[in-house]
Amino acid sequence: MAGGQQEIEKVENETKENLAGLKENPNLEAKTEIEKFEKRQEREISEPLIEEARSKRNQLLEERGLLPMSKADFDQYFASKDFEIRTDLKQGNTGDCYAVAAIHAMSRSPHFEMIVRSSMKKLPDGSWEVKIPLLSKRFQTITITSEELLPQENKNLGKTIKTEGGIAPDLREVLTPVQGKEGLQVLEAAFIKQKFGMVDRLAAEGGWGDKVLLALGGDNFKRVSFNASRYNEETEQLEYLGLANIPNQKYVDDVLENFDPEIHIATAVTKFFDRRTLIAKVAGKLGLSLEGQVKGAYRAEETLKFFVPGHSYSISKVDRQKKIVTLANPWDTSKPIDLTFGQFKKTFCRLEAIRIDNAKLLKNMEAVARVAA
Amino acid sequence: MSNIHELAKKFEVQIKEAIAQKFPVPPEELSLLLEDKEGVYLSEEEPNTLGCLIVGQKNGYLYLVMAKIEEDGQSLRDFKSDIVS
Repeated sequence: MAGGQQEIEKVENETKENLAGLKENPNLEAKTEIEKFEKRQEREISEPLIEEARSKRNQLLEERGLLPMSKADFDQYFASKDFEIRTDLKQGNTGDCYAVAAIHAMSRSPHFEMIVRSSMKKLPDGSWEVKIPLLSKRFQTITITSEELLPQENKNLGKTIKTEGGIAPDLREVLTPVQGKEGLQVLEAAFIKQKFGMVDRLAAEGGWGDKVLLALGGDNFKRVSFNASRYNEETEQLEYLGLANIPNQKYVDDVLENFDPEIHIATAVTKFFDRRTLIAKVAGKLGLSLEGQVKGAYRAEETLKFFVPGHSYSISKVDRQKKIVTLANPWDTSKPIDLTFGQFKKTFCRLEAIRIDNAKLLKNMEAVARVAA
Repeated sequence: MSNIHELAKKFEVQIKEAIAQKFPVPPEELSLLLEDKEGVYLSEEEPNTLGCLIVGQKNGYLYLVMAKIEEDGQSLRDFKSDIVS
């Protein structure tokens, strides 16, 4: 479950900071990368041969820069089943959906094994060593102990938190980590520790998925990001629009149509509730919490599916022939959600995609190898 | 340098062209990983086929070019390219 109105306010404030003052085209971040978005081509080479090439790439990296984690450890701590990297996650009661969505999106990538084995290691005492950014020559080593993976006392217990209809007590006695394989829990904890200096789950509530991916991947990742929220300086309010409202639809369509899960890793954020809508005003008068209601879910336009407002989802795959985006909710990633491109663009306000920059990766690996020597 | 690395070096222009014809990247921005043992390999999946990993130095993509080895072992034909990551 998300952390509630305070979490939403945190990301809203960050959005306002990002958007305020941007007079021109605030919706297209990393425009150059968007324009260079590689057109997805039909595969000339069969999947087994591509898989073989990935394996060679991993061996090449192992020879250059020493992958500290063995294949056996990767299989034990990250793969849910034998020979299957795909893993299911369930967000704990901490409001870090953005981090869980990012980790899930990353775990779906065929490059996840290489990324993880390059920068994570389980130590004999049961603790973990994680180099962040992964593979960077200027990494910070984060140690995660077994205790840091346990549920954590909620320092906010009993304190009031803002809700749409007023205030309510935070009744969570403990803040729990993501449910899933140990290695994925370690990634969540390592991200929090790297950002906040300690595994402070409360501090980690509220954020953006691409920031997690960039924090974990550093300059080895290139980024494409769309944000359809607008800051109205006259009303000093954020306007919550779907991706369908971005003026340069060509860019959004281009990215969706050429999105290749074999190459890209992505998360998307649903629209926040617009508090100026009639339903929000009525709910406010009645003292009801819209965000808290789902459980907070709302039904997306043109579909019977329900979505959580202001919530991060991971993108699992994109079928460009049928124009379908498959997403996963970090509350339970085992249940895929299919949306047409049109439904997706009306439901989500932010799309964040990254891909690996192999040139930087190889250069960084050279540097890591030199340090190791 | 192994025989297959030398063969890839000999056909470096054609290998880069196979990528440049399919993807919008100029050949001069492409680098073969000839210093790495696994940068050029014989495919176990497809007999008599050479695999070659190439990195786009500016765009950061890792490409794969596969080509058939002629019976004499001295030349390559039927170049195919794709993005690996």
